[in-house]
Amino acid sequence: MTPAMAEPLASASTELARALLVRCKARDPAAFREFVVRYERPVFALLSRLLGHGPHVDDLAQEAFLRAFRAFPTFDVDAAAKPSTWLLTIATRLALDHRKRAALATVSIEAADTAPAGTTPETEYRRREMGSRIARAASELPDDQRVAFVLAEFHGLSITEIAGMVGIPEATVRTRLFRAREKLKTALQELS
Amino acid sequence: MTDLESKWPAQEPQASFADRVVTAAMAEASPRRWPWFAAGAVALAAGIALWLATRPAVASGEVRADRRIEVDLGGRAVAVLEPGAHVRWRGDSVEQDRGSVFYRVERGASFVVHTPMADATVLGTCFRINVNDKENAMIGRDFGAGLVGALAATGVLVGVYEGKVRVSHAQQDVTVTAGETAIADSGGVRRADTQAASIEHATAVQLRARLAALEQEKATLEHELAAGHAASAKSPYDLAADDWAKMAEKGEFKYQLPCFQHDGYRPTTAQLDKLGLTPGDADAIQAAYRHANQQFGTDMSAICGSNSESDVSSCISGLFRNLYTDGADSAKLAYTEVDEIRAGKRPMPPLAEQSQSLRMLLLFSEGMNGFEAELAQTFGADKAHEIAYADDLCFMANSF
Repeated sequence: MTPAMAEPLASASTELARALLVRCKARDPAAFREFVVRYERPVFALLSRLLGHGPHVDDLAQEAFLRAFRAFPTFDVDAAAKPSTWLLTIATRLALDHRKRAALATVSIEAADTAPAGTTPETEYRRREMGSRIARAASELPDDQRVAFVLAEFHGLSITEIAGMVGIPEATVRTRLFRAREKLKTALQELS
Repeated sequence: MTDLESKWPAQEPQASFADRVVTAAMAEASPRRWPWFAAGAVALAAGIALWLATRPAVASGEVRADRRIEVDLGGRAVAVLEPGAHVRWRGDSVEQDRGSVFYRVERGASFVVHTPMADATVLGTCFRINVNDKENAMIGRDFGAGLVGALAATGVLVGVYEGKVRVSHAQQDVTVTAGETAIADSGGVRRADTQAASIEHATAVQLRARLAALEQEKATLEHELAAGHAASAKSPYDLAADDWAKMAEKGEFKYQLPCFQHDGYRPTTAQLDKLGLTPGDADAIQAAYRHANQQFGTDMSAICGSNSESDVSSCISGLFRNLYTDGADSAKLAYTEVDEIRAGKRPMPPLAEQSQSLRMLLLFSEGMNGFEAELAQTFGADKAHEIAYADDLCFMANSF
């Protein structure tokens, strides 16, 4: 069963089996496809929350997977690093490079396609407002704070993992995370 | 912020994102450098993926059949569900957890059906998967009686009518071809040994199961006949004016192009042998591939106004995206225009009046024509046509 179909999560909480990763290292197309299917949603989630929704997310997600494909021969399947963390590191760096290069303005989110069943127009409106407010507040965060916040809140990464991914001390991650949470908490409180 | 996920939704990947990435990755992995228009072809897949993702009725869904029902899965596959069957799909990935389903899959990227006991991966074929409703209770039984027993007791049966299907389960996999059946159960996956089917050992339950399977097979064949899907000689991409006219009525579009490889695809001896050709014929076919690739590149470059590889890739992807700017209906209008031109129901507009998108679609609609014309000089018209639409050779095909 395809994990992504059975478990529609934004985070990569279930890692792929070692045997499949070994096949990915050997550039087995079927295995690599499973790898993509398993992690495409977390990568899209990360990129769209860091950069806003749009076709650039698709482009960068593809580039992230292609970089992973190129780097697979050097990926140590027996090391402690999880493949999801490894892949999200690649995607995060791509996103940061993209921000620097294009100075892309984060666009507002589009919640219409993800409305949960059973919502009323009023609650749906409110949910969208909330989403827009969070996205707007997030877009105003400095890149480094947004990265720390998204990785911690949506992808369940630890302070240590984020520090390793971004290449900064853990104390700096904590500071960035604290500041990001404070700003977003304020945005949510204003709405409620 | 426990429900932050729902408050701040993420962008979802398109239905065929994984296939597009794998295609691009495999192109990179090729030891031979692809010409720039190969990258364009990959970008084209992006456009197709966009279309698949924006066609709401087929990109994803779920069906539980209370009667025999035909379902369009992601544009390139059709499934016929028997009563009691249940599938859900997302792009080219299907989950079937119960019942009997017949699949007809157009050629293209990998198409996978996930069942509780095994995954079936195909590349253009038709086959049936039968998931026994009592699979949980049956796991662990002795299947020594062979196929008859297996029908009653096993978790999953995969019967192939055309092409090949790889059935995988844990670390094992078995490839079954037309006329063969694979069994997947708690003991692994294996090819069914029909010779081992022993009527003497069959119980009444087993015979009923066999009868049900035969009835399903009969129904499938009837369906194929009715739908014109029987394994006929004509390729679905071998389009005559009548075919274009039919597509125009529905706003559909399809194409088949020679595959792109540096210096042209060279058929293997086995492929040539299957076509009744000799190894010496490989040179002429490879040259036809090479020239078709070059011509496509030249034409697409002229449409996009650039010789740059990346520009043309972006151009193709952008033109396909633009078709859907105003929704699927706007794309259908564009496809209908091309269909009607090819059907002879609408005059070809002067070049100066053709939009970039129209020029691109017209180019794709040329399909295998140039390739076939060159082959005809060596092999004659009939043989060239057979080669151009041979299942075993290398081409790119898609239908919208």
